[in-house]
Amino acid sequence: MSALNIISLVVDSISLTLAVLMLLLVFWQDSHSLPNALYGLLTLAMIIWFGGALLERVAVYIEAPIGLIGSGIRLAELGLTSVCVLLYLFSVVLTGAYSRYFLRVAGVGAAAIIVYQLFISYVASNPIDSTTDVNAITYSYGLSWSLLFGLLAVATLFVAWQQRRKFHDSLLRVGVSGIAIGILIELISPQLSSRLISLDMCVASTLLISYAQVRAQIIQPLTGRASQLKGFRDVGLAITSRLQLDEVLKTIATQAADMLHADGAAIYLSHDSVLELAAVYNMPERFIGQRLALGEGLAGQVAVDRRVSQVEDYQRDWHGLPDMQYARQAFGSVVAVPLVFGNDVMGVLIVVENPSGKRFDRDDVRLLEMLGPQAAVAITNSRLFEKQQELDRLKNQMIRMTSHDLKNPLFAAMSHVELLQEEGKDILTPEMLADVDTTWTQLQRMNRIISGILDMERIQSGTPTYEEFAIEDMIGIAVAELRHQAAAHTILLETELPVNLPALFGDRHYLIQAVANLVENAIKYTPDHGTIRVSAEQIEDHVVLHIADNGVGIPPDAQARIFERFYRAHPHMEQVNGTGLGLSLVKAVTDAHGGRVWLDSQVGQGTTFHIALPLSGIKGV
Amino acid sequence: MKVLIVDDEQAIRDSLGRKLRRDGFDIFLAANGIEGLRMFHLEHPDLVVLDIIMPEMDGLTVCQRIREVADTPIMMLSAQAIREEDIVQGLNAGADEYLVKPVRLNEFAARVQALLRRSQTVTPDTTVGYNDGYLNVDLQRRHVYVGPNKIHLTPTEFKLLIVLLENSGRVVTHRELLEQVWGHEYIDDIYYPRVYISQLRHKVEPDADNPIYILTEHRIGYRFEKHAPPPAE
Repeated sequence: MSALNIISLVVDSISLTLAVLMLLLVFWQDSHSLPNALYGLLTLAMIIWFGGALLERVAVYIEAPIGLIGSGIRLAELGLTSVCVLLYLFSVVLTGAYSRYFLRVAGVGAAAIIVYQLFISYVASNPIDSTTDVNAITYSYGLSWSLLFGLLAVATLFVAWQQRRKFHDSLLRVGVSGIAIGILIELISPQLSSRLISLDMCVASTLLISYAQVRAQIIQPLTGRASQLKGFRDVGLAITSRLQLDEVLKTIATQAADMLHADGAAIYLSHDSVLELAAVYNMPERFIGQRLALGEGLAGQVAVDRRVSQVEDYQRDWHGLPDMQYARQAFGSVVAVPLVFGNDVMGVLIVVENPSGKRFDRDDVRLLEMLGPQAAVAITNSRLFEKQQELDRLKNQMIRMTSHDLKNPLFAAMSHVELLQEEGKDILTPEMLADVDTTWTQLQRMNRIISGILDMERIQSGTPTYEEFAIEDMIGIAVAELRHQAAAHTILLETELPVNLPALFGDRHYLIQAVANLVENAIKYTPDHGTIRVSAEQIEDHVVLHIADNGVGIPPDAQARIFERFYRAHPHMEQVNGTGLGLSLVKAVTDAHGGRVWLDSQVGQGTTFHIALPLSGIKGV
Repeated sequence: MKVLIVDDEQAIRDSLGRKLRRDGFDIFLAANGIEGLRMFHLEHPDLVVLDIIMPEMDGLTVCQRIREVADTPIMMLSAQAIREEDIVQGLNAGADEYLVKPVRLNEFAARVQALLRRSQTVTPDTTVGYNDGYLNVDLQRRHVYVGPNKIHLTPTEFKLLIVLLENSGRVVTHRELLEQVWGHEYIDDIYYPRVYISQLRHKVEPDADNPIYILTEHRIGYRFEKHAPPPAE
């Protein structure tokens, strides 16, 4: 045995050991997929081939009986046969370039060939022609075997060339081609074969394939995780930052296709147990609006199963109704993920590659699985948002109608009562005038309620009118409006303001109204001879107003609800008449100014309301 | 004094008309925009009160049509005002005043009087006009030129310009403007100056978005900035 051959055998054995280690790594990650199983078998066949080659040479070297040498050769032949068959299968499965019944037929064929090879190894005579020189064990495979090996090797090379786009990793393609070329070399020249050139080449290529597998299935996912997570976060942000439903759908489809580097994507939404195509990316828009019953098409199936589903080759593997008219022609590899929110399937997202494109791998499926719930949340959000917008629109419309339809007759009635008051004061009896006054008071009350509702609406939806003004003025005006009312109840209404209060920037009109509402509220719920104190102070960059009374107080359970519209803490106090809007307006005004309102209250002791307003003015002003 | 009241609610036309008639005005009533416009051309009223939402032609359109031919003071009277934008829209259509229903009849009458007062007597305290070669304000004849062109200002716009001019170099607060241009009844209508300043800028400024005459003092008010006249030839 030449030194070169010994080196070859040592290097090959090391290479194969490495390849086996990598194989174990890949299997640890995923041993179920068909390509990985074939890859494992291929490596095993390579080991058999190498084992046979090793055995025959060692047998010759130690001058073992000729039967042992023959066994080595048989083993090598078995290995080579298996390598040829498995390599072809591996390349086809890896690229998905097979038709519907291929796998079954090919599997049976491969098994038959290998079993036949085993059989003839057992029954046939010693294959060795001459063993005159240890370094030149030459033997041929016979025409039919050579033809079969050659055909398989050429077919493999053809697949590797024609389906080159579908290899995840170009190293895989190089490795597969390398083995095929090695086999051809083995067939071309017994001399080269005896020098182990072809075996070396095949082992090296196996190592290359192993490395490519490890790289594609383990290293890349690990190193890519950070960027994948970032990409995923970006997608999540993009999806959730939009509110209009059609925009959300379009973004989901676009981002999903981008994330998987796919050719197209589509979203079906479910309405009343029907799926309707709602958005597409890179697919004909004319299909939008098309419907699928639940269970129809891949999307319909996924909606029923509520599980992600992958079809490697739509034309070959999908036997149900097509998802779209042109799906059979246009779809290659497809992943469909249900968009589930709570117990409801909101829809289905499908991501599509064209027939000559790549195939989606497990990572793609996982990514899409992760995207599904986010997309469902985004869709739900935007649906709720649109519903809310619609409700808002209806509410605004109603308020506008109310304002116009109620205020016109109210104004007509009020102005006529005013005319009656003026023109009738010398004609009407005192009782009649009193009736007119009562009518006037009630109309005014109605007006206050309508205005209160409209004010709330204006504050909540509109832009306040900002100006700079002195806090003392604001409190002064509010208190002056109510001094008379307080005096009527012999309530002492006092203010306590430090001299150097800063100016405030805000909607003066509504802030005065807010303070007045709180003071009026205090008057209502403070017994005669009580005291109400309005004070203000600057605390850091806020001014805080306090409106304190020693009235009946507010029970703790009512405190939380006191700012709700039409809520009354003391419904039994019949004599207190108000619109039930006063405190909710206070809250709305405070909120609109970026401030806060709260209260301290003890039943029987009194209540203090606090309003904190930022001095810097309002956000965005 | 003739006042035209345009409102589709008969009860409202009736009460407003009676109130003003008792205060000594000649009253003309119209039930919709088209009728109102026709009556405007027929009677040449001194003041128009306009409802906004009306059949046939709405108040904003009537207002714009009137503005195309006359400076007659126009008071919008609407139940529609919910937001400032609604009011601004009314003022932008050329109205001098925007009242929200319901309004007390006495206040309505007072506002009518104030509006008439404002539009009739523009008596500037100073008799000195302003001319820097680009902007030329002739107080005597109430003419304003921008470059070679004579421009048209409504009475309110003219008064606003004069108040700013009289106080040039000094900041005039929103409230001062309201008091001096509109009258102290208007002291709380603080969006008036903003809308009218914007209109005035479009008429007198070379570039309304980058004003050089009427400058905004953020949160305080406005200031008129004089510019040196071109050197005499």
